[in-house]
Amino acid sequence: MTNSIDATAGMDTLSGSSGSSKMFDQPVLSIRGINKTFTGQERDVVALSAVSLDVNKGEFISLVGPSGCGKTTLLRIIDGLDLADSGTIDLEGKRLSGISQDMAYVFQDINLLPWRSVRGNVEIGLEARGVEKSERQRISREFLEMVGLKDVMEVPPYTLSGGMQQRVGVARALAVKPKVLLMDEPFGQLDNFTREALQAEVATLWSQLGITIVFVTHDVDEAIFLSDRIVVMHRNPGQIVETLEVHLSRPRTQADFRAEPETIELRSKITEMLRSQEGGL
Amino acid sequence: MTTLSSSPKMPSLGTIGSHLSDGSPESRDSEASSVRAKQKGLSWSRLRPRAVRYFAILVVLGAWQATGSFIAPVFLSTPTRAIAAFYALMADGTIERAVAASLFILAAGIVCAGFSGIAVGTIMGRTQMLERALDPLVSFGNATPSIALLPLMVIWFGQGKLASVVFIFIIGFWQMVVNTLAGMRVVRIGFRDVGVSFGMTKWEQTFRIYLPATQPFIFAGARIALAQCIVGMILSEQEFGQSGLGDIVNTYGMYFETNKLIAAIGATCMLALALFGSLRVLQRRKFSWIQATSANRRGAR
Amino acid sequence: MSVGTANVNSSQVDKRARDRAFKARRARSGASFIVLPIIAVAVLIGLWEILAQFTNPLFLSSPQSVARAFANILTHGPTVSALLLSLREMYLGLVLGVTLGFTLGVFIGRFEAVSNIANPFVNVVNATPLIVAIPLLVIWTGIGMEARVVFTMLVTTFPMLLNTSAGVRNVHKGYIEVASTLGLSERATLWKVAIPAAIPYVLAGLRSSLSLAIIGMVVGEMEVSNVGVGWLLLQYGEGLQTAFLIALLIITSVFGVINVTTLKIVERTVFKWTTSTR
Repeated sequence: MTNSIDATAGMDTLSGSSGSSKMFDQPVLSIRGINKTFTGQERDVVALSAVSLDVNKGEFISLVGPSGCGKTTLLRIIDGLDLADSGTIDLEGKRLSGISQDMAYVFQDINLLPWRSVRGNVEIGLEARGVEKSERQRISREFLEMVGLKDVMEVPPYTLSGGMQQRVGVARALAVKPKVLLMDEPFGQLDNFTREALQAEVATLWSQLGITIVFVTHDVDEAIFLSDRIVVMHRNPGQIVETLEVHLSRPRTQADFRAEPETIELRSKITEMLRSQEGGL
Repeated sequence: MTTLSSSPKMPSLGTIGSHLSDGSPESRDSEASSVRAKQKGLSWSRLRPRAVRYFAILVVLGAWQATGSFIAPVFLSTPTRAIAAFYALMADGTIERAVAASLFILAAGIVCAGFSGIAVGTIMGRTQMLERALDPLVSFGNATPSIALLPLMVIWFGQGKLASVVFIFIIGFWQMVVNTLAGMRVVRIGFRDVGVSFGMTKWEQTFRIYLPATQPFIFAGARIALAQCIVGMILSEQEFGQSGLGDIVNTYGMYFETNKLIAAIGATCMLALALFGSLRVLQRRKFSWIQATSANRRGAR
Repeated sequence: MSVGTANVNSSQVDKRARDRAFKARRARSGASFIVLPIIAVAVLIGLWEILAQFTNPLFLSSPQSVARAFANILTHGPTVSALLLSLREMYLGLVLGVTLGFTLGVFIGRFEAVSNIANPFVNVVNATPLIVAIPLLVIWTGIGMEARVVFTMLVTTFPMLLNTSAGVRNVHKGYIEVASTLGLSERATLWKVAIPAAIPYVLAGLRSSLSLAIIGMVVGEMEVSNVGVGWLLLQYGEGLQTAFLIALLIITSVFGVINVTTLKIVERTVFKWTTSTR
């Protein structure tokens, strides 16, 4: 069932190779014609202009682009944190309005609640869903173990390093068993080594859980390492330039993937796309 | 009066829902809409909060009038009677005289307190040894309610205007020292190296860098000092039987002349508001950059 | 007390070792934090003693007299019970005021409509020296405990109110977004996110309220009382008993220091997370 790309042929800014080599179901997320303009003091900024995108079930898709290209805005609109001026989003065929409970968000600022322990942070989403205490504790333990934080479950978050905090952020998002995981430059504030470690962990989690992930980043290599597809965006106005497929075989390792010819080709292609826009400003 | 360091007006929690209805980052949107509103003239959405506010004030006044009419006038009086009393007192000059007397001692005390407090605070902030030596004393002095020093003033100066002025001076002095010192400490962290690297002398550093940078703290301290000094002013008038607002309030209270009492309270209130307002105007005029650089950031996404 | 080496290799990742060395370095320079003040206090007391020889004991008394007065006060039964009574009233007013201020503050911070309506009233009352309201309180409740407690209550309400509302209003946006993206209801968001996030502000308000409570107690008793600290201060003043006056002043300051220190301890233990930097 590889009709995902064909079904979206003819949509505004979507482009990409035809005939997917992956086996995906029909799109879990259908994003159509998203427009978003921010009115500023001096001028209006068109953050998103007629953006459309399909996200397939179980795929790892990245939004890549320079700052201000609207990738974060799009992610927030998908989750419902911001509202688009026009356009629609369907999750598994159902029209979305407001914040969706079937998706979870991982923030760039991490945003762990400092007055709760690590475990308390993971459990808060479950509390909101009325999960009772023993079940909550079981789930939080499960996901904290999954991200390797079994030993620090009861500590306050401020004692943890940035990398560990973000792991908690990921566990918190996964604990509510979302259909789609939205990650907004989650490793942007971390140092290189931590970032690479976490990238590998996210890749592992993704393949273990089979979850759909929409990932925003400005780091091209990160996108290539993690994704099945990369959506390259421009800004002013924010729109999708091109969608590229990544065919690197999984599992991918940090050491090996850089040397792959496909990686090098993708990297130069994407970088060129991004650079050409800067020059044309 | 209690004061907070200025914080930007951010969307209240009540706008969780409106997250979903207007979407864009609140700070941009509300600014934009208010800019647009100013250009277009008055739109209903801008008018509404003000209307609600005035309406609420009217409701409260109405309730006051209603209850005041039913219970013994000595307890609550009514807006009408209080305003009438106010006019009467203005007409015969009572309020003017009281305000003048109060303002005189207040100004004398607080101006001296301001200058010397800032000076001492600055010196302490710039001299590490002095600061470390005196800091616990300053904290202890700060913990003492300066108000409690009133009887000591009586012993030293008797019950005259001098006693009041010194009393007010001491109250204001402590506040200014503590706040200036606190400001100096914060400024030191950021600016210590700047002056040195530019080869400025210690004096130059103090006046060109430290003092200007400490202004927000000094003004915050001034607000607190003003509030406490006003209380000191009233208290000393009442205890010393001097003329002034504190005195007439006392008298009216003693004789159960509630109308005049409330009028006098109102006059005090207005005086206080005027004083705080002038402080704010002073800050805005001379030191407008404080507003601009304090945390008024826009969320960029 | 030599601990560790003065030069700590930055490549040593062990956080505890770094902490230990840092504390050791601080303790050594911290000696001046203790020694200098002690010297300063000693100097001041010495100067005071010398001055006392030359001046009329009426004005400054002397360290010895004050010390004696101190002992006198603390051993005098009726005085001690008067002090305790003052404290009881103060804490009663404080608790009432803080509770009221907190509750109102949450409403005002949470609902913009409420904030709109309440702001003019709050600002006006806040600017007025509440001391002028005392005669009115006396008209209502007569001279007695009620007037004093209500006065202290009014005085302590405002710092709590202002700080709490500011805290609830200015919750870090990220926390709210976490709450909304995880599906918390508005009420859950208020109680589980907004109010905890506002705690630093609330603690600041509590600090202000504590210092104002003492002022409220003293002023209230100076105006409306024939018992308690404030009244006693006036008595000593009128009776020109300078030594007793100074001793009582010091005792009052000690109350204040105890309050502030207790709050600091609570902050560092129960609310430890407020004192760390994110």
